Amino acid sequence: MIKARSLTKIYGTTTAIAGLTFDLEAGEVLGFLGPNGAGKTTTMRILTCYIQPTEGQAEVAGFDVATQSAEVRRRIGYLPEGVPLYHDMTVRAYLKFMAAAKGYGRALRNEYVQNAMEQTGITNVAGRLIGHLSKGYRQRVGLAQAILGDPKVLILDEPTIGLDPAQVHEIRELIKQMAHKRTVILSTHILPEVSMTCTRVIIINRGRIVAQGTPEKLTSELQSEGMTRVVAKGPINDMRVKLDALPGVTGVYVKSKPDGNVAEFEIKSRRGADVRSAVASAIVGSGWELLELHSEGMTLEEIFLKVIASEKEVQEYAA
Amino acid sequence: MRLSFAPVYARELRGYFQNPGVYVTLAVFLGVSGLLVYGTVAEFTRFCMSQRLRIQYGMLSMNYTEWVVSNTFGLISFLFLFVIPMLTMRLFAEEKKTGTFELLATCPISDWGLVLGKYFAAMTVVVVFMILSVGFPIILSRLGQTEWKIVASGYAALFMVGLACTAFGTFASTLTENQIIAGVVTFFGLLAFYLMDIFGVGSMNWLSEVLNTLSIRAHMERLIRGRVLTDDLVYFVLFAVGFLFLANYVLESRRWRV
Repeated sequence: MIKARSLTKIYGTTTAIAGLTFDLEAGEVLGFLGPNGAGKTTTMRILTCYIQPTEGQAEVAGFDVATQSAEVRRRIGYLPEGVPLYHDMTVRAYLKFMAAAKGYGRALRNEYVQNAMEQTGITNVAGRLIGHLSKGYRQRVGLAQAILGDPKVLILDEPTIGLDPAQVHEIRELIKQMAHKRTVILSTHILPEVSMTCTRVIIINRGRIVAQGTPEKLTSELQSEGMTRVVAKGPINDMRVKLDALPGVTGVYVKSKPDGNVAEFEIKSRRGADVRSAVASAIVGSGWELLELHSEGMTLEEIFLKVIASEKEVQEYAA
Repeated sequence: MRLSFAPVYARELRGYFQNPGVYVTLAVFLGVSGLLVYGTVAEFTRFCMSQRLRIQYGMLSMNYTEWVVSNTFGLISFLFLFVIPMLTMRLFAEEKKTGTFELLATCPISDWGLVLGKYFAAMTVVVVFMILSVGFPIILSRLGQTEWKIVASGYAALFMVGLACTAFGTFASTLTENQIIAGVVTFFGLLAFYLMDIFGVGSMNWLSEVLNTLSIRAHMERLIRGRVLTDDLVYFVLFAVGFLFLANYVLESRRWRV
């Protein structure tokens, strides 16, 4: 549905993005993750035909953003950063105007506006001035505008920024609903948002893609070592020695203070090695009691920080 | 890309009439126009009184239409330099500031659609101002013998000046996100174009020729006196089209500007 090939945008001496290449299949929800100034907005502006790339091509729904921008724009719903709206218009008047601007005929307009308001739950404020609405409602109006006429692609730039936690939750739910039959790109620098709403993640930093994949794939790939937590009952020292000897295990640490015979272990293992079943059979096979066992993945937050930190190191090293 | 400026035009026009600033501008415009009409008539009366003997003996003939009606239109056209920046300054500057421009510019409407939609909306308001000022020529026609031909060409002159000035204001509004700057640039830019012929006085022939050609006033002067020349009409149309092209160019430049 979306194809980007070595997209580059240079503003004077600053390179906003450098050689971004990625593909997005229909129905995927892509999370664009990166610190402020990483190039998320620039990429989105290129995909929505607001600006042109200095180099590289991008296609949306099979149309080139530079040469067939009218076709691309017809297929995109866009919510720019900061949810720009006309505060002196009522919700309904605004949506009607946007439907007209998107080129829908009079006959379709009312229906589209009604559908969009229902989907985003703003029918009850249809007659109010946008300037008088709360931020959460304005965000919904912005989303309603984006889904007018059911575009195939939704591009949302920081859709939850500046909302209170309850509103953030509502908007995420809305985005999830909208994602059912659409291809969505959303940018954010909030990590839980990505693991909650996205099927794919691209982490970008200083205009370059530093990691991409499903949230799970990123977690497993970037994890340098695995970690398994075990709570077991038995002679603590014996257990520790036995676990340490298992293949793939690089270290065993007694985490909490042993309470009688019960102890919690942190078992570190080599990257990619799954030691869970070996640990379980070692404990049970020796006649000890296994109370808890689970492996802990890196959170996206950790991955994000790690990726960005290692980038920094490389750059400092190079300099 | 669709040209279709209708949605932008409709929204912009409604915005104008929901904006109290426009009514204030209209009130000031009509009020000051009234004062100028009064002043012109008073000045004409005083002059005729002082020269009444020469007029009586046919040594001097005073043409009321030329002295009062035409001059009134000239003064009202000068007022446009104050009124039009007020109307055009927010056109693009405000949308750029609030970010709504980005949304509008990613709709399937060409940049020309945006420029023309906003330009025609502002121009419509200018025409409404002109229509509401129709009371002045009616009052003037009661005070003295008025040639309606000259009134018509006076309105034609106002319309042409409006076309040109509104295009310039639209262009200035694309340059910045600050309305005040857009307004100030429009006012001083128009003032310079309006009075361009003054700079040429006493300078070399070719230079004053060029400045005369560029001056809004020089072209308008002929029109308000009932001399409709194709050159002058072409000047105003070219002026407007030129600045609309520049406005479109500025909008488009965002795509590749570094």
